[in-house]
Amino acid sequence: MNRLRSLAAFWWDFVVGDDAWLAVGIVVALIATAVVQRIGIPAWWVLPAATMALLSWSVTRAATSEPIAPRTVDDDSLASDTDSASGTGA
Amino acid sequence: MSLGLLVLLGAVFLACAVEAVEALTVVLAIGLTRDWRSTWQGVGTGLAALAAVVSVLGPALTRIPISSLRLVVGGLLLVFGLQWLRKAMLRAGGVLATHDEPAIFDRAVAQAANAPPVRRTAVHDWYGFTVVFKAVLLEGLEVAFIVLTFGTGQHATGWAAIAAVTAIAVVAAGGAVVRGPLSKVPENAMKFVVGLLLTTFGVFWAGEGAGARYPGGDAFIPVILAFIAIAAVVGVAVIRRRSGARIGASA
Repeated sequence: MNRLRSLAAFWWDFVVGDDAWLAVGIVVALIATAVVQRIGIPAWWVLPAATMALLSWSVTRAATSEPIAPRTVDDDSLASDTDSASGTGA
Repeated sequence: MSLGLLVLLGAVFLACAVEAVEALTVVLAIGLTRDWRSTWQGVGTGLAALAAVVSVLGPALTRIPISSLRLVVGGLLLVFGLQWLRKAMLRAGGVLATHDEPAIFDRAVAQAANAPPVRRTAVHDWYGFTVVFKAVLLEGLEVAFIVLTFGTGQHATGWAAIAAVTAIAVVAAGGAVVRGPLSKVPENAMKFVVGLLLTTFGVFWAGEGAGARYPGGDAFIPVILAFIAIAAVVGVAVIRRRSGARIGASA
């Protein structure tokens, strides 16, 4: 059971990453796209607009909460850190 | 070959080259510091584990009904791509540290030099084996994810695989010549571009999967790319100004 939970946590972290609200926002935007299209309004603008808004919001939030990093220090992809999903190269 | 497919193959090539550079740094650090035999065992076992994962995920993706395929694949790609782009923007804005292969290489070498050699079963150096195995598997998973999602989304998995293998071969050849981390590769800029491309294709496919009809069809992809690129560049400028103000305030 623990292994299953670890595996699920790994895949979640691998795909979704540090900000789960981005994924939630994308799901909501996809539902909104389908709904807008279904009621007869062209929906091609919904997802690009939502993506831009979500990205701006997420990055601004991170920029105001993260400590300022040194400019050229190695980050999270060092071998010893690779057992965490955030150690992937994104 | 259409322009869209060429852009897609370029994206796969860039993404896979970045991941291969990261894996290469670890492989070289362990191989040059410790034991090449255990290093190759780690590479081989990592690739075998990767093949097992792909053999499960690949057929699973192809079983998704065609009507839902672009929604599922595009949605996954969009969430995954936004993660890349978000990190790339935070790095470019000075909030997260930029990726520095020589520094990572030096740190890996220092750690490898201090770890005691432990033999387990057929593996002469367990530390080197496990470090290389994890690096190859994790970086390889990102490659596999990108190849499978791009390939199935555009019905060009074969072409995507060729682009990935070419990228890995080019990076491996570079590593064999240099015998050190590929510090000249503009990794941070490449990650920014890859994040933009993953997000763009994710928006296009997921939007189509959800029922949206983009003006001009595939011809709208460059418009989405330009839109997101402008937003990302403006976002980086805003973050830089804010992080500069924070540094100034704390000084």
